[in-house]
Amino acid sequence: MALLKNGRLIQDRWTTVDTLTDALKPGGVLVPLDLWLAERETLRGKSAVGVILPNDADLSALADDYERIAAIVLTFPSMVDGRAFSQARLIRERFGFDGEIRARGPVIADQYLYLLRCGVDAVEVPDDTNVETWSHNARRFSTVYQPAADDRIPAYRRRHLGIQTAIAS
Amino acid sequence: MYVYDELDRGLVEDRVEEFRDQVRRRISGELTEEQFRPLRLMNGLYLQLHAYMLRVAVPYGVLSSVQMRKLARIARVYDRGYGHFTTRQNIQFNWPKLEETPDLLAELAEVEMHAIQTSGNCIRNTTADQFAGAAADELEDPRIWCEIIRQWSTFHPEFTFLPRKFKIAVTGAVSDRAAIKVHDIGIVLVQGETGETGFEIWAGGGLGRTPMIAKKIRDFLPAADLLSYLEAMLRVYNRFGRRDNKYKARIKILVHEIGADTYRDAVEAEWADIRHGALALPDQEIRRIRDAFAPPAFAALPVSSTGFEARKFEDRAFARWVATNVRRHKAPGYAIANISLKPVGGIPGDATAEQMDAVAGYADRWSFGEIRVAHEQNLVLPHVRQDDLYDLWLALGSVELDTPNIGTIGDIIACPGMDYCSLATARSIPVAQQISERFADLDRLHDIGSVSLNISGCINACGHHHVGNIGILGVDKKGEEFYQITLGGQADENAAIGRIIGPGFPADEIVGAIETIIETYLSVRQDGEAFIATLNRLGQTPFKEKLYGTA
Repeated sequence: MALLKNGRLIQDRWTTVDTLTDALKPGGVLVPLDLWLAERETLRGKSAVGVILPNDADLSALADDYERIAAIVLTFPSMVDGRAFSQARLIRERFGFDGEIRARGPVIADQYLYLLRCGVDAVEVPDDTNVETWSHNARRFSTVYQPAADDRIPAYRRRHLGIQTAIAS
Repeated sequence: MYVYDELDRGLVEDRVEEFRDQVRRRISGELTEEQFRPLRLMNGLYLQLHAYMLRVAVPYGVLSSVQMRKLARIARVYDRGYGHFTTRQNIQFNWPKLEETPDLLAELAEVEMHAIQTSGNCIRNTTADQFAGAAADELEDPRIWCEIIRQWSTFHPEFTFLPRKFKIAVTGAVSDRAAIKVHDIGIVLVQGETGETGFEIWAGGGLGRTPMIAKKIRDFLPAADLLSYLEAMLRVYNRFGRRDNKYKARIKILVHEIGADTYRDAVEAEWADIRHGALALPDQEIRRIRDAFAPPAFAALPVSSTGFEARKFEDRAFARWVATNVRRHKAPGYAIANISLKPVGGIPGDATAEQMDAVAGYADRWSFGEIRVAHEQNLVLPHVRQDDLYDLWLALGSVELDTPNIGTIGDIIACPGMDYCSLATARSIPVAQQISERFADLDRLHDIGSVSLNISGCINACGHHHVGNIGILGVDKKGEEFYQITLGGQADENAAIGRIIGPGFPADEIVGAIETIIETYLSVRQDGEAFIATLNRLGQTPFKEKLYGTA
């Protein structure tokens, strides 16, 4: 798998581990939520730790941790299970998390815009992914109708900002 | 009517290109059918029994004459010369080719129409009172709020992959013609203590396999908070609604399982956090949309027209049509004219391209260019002068659209059933046709009076049989079609789920059974008592005795 981030396909430098021993080895690691909750005192000493959240996780369990976590992995068991879209927004908007939020699972290019708008900024994708298709989908819509975790201005505000601002945005 | 600005127009055009690209990628194999399926569904494209079916959105049931002409053209060019108006105020075309659908959508975009979110597990077309802006009993035009909801819910990044489909209905009148209590969210416009607009909020209603009447979630929601409250309601549903079983994934199951109080507490807690955020609607935007729905320039007329009264006196057939198909209008001298799409022996909700063109012409001539689609699968000309009703009626007769049966047993709601639908277990349309033929006699039809009869061809209940005064559910019993009857359903402000009266009937006995029920009603009703009132007074017993005998 590769990582799609900022419109580019990059090598994923993070390793997914499921034991404390592996988690404490050098390099960035992604650990399951349970492991993090059980060992967070130990894991907090390490700089590059990300947490993998099941899509029904209680987000407040991490309330004190968001500042210390470098990345959060959201889980999409299938492309149509959309619980993690809500999680992404809450993690960004309510808990103010500003690290990487990545999507893991069989999401497709046609969902990229929704992912980005909800605050996901990295997607795990197959190595042969056509980046152009994804980027194109991210840019496809000239208008958005609702605020989300991104900085796009919804139509109901753009309409009343004046013409200059509308063009600029 | 709401008219697109450049932002709305751009978005719909972007959507056409997106879908064109998706179809291309599907045909090239870049997208698997499994991947393509949710994408095409979110664009209203179903794979049916014989072919693809495209469902086009008619937001809150409002059409302009220009849009209706476009639908007529689409029926001619991409279909077999007709379209089917649905119980969700939309229209379906049964025979488009996959590779032609992008062009079809591009044509729709020219008249500010689309197929966005007419299927899929997302927020569907928001429905409303078909008499919005015209009804005499209306507090405020619900279309203003429907349009606000339409925009907010379109391509909502968080709520496009919900546990299941999600339907919102809005009414602004005393009589609930939008069936809000059988929707995922039902919204009733109400006035606050100082006369300001607000909303009563209901949730968890629905039909399908587990019919439920919605629970009231909030007595009064200030207007400016509408979107933040809806977002809180949807977020709780998206996170906690069941996904393990598609038949238990609707919000009604969540509300039922955790209880309305727990659901409400979760929504209120979520709302407290987002209420004062970016979703608060700017006053200018509410004003802009309210202005779009300003009433047309009604002429100052007397409350009633002597010419109209004289016509009714002279022409009994016209008087009969007026009695069933015309409703009171809020503006003096005007009326609401319902156009029945339920001719005797016809397919409920079907209209030919010629009929669509004709209705567009009548709308231009007599109703400020406005047309509505009713969830009962009929059309409405909302603003007709009483003085013009006679000419309108004659014109409707010339295209076989003058059936005087709105609200009667001939005005049947039916799903497409096994003739079209791959889910159906029995046929619906032939049963509807036979019942309408059995009750074709107009004197008898009008004597029977107001009664709703709804038919579904399977337990998914697309024909809303649970909320028909008389409901018919077609089931498959060892390879044979059987029809189960429920009595007592209502979709209005007194919403109720009908109860099964007894064992089902085979196809060749169902029409006779319905006739028995009606004859029983006629024999026991009191003066001026509608079917549902008699049923509620006496219960099912007299009907059961006549259907199954006293033993």
